[in-house]
Amino acid sequence: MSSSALAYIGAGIAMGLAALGTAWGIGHLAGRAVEGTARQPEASGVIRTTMLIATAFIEAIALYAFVVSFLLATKS
Amino acid sequence: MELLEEFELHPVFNLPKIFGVDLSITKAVIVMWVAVALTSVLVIYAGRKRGLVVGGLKGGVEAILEFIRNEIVIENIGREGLVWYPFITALFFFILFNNLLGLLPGSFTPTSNINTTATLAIIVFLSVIVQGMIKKGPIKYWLKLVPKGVPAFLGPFLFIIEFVSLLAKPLSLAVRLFANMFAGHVVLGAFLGLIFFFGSYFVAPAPLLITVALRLLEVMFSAIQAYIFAMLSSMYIGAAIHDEH
Amino acid sequence: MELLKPETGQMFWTAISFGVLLLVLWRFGLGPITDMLAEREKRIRESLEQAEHTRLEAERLLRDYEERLAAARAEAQNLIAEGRRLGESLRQEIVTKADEEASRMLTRAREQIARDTESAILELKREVGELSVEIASRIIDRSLTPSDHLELIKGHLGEVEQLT
Repeated sequence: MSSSALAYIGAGIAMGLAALGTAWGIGHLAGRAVEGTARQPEASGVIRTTMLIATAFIEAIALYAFVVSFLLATKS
Repeated sequence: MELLEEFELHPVFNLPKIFGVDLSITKAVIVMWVAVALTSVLVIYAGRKRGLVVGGLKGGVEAILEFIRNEIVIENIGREGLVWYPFITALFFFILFNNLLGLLPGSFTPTSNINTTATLAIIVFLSVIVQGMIKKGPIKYWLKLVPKGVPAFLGPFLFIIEFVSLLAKPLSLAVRLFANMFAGHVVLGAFLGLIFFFGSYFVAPAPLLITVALRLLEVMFSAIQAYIFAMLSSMYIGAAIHDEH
Repeated sequence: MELLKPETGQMFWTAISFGVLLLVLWRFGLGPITDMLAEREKRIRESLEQAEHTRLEAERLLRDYEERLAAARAEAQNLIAEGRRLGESLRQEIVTKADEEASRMLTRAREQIARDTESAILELKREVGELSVEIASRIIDRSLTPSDHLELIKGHLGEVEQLT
């Protein structure tokens, strides 16, 4: 296998694993947020804002992986 | 890869290099100027000839400004942090308009270039350090990085760890914003690229619709990223003012 | 294309643009708006305080009125009780007075009756005496001496007294 092929595989694996973790994280977060909203509907505004911010944080981690995999994929 | 052509900077007007700095005016620079002009005009317009009750565009701008003042600055830094209000506002609007203007077709997103976001993050980083040194004293600030009650021999190690985490803050700020904007545009480009990839009129509408939806989503993310950048900056500044530990 | 290539030009222009924006906002833009926001905040706080004040005032007034109402009600209750007591005592008085009057009238009537009976008895005695004399004189058909008369009358009277 050539080194560029390895880089492509690495990029794919990196992005896939990052997506896996991010998906789990955001799913967990959204589930908890819905739970919280159901328990305390009057706090739904605060919960939604916090959830959006947290989503952006979690997503950022996937995006780091995205950048890394992009660097890998465009290396050759 | 032709997908990445949209992220390359090409000079529009060539200017000479001064001290190795290429001062050529690129699309990104023009977009940033437009963002600066738009923000200035909006804020000055909103601040002109005021009654206490306003509506329309003035009301909207004012609502954002009030939100920044109350929910970001006062919430994270405190009332003494109102000195930083113009700084945080400038950050928010600068990033917001750079993100939004980049969504216009044929435009350029300055925030999808790591240099832009890194510069902003470095400015924030320097502000945090300067604020901390003003508040706690130039040497004491660095000493305070190490938590109290730590054994003396652990001190240097902890100092290094804390220093690295201090450096990680602007790094994550810069990479977060850059990666968000870059990835957003890459995804948009990729979906549009599907049209050419298939080269069929029957398939074309689907990627087109998806692109439209994603572009709307990008508008939302532009605002959220600007908000997060401003909020994190004010949190870091607030942490420099107050004792973290 | 290098993704993370440093481009000093872009950095320079970003810093300049941001600096200009910061300067503009700091010097010209935010002043009036900050003032206005502070003003509005003050206005809102003042009107809230005003409202709070008014509410307290209203509550005080309400309490005052309630107190006054309670006092008036108690007063009325007192008045009614007083009136009832007065009426009761008045009634009692009238009843006793009427009772006394009635008993007085009764005794007076009794006395009258007793007196009338007495006089009637005397009258009767006299009448009976005269009648007896007349009857006796008619039956005996002779006149009697006054001493006989007296003796006869006495004898009859004794009989009559025994009868009555």
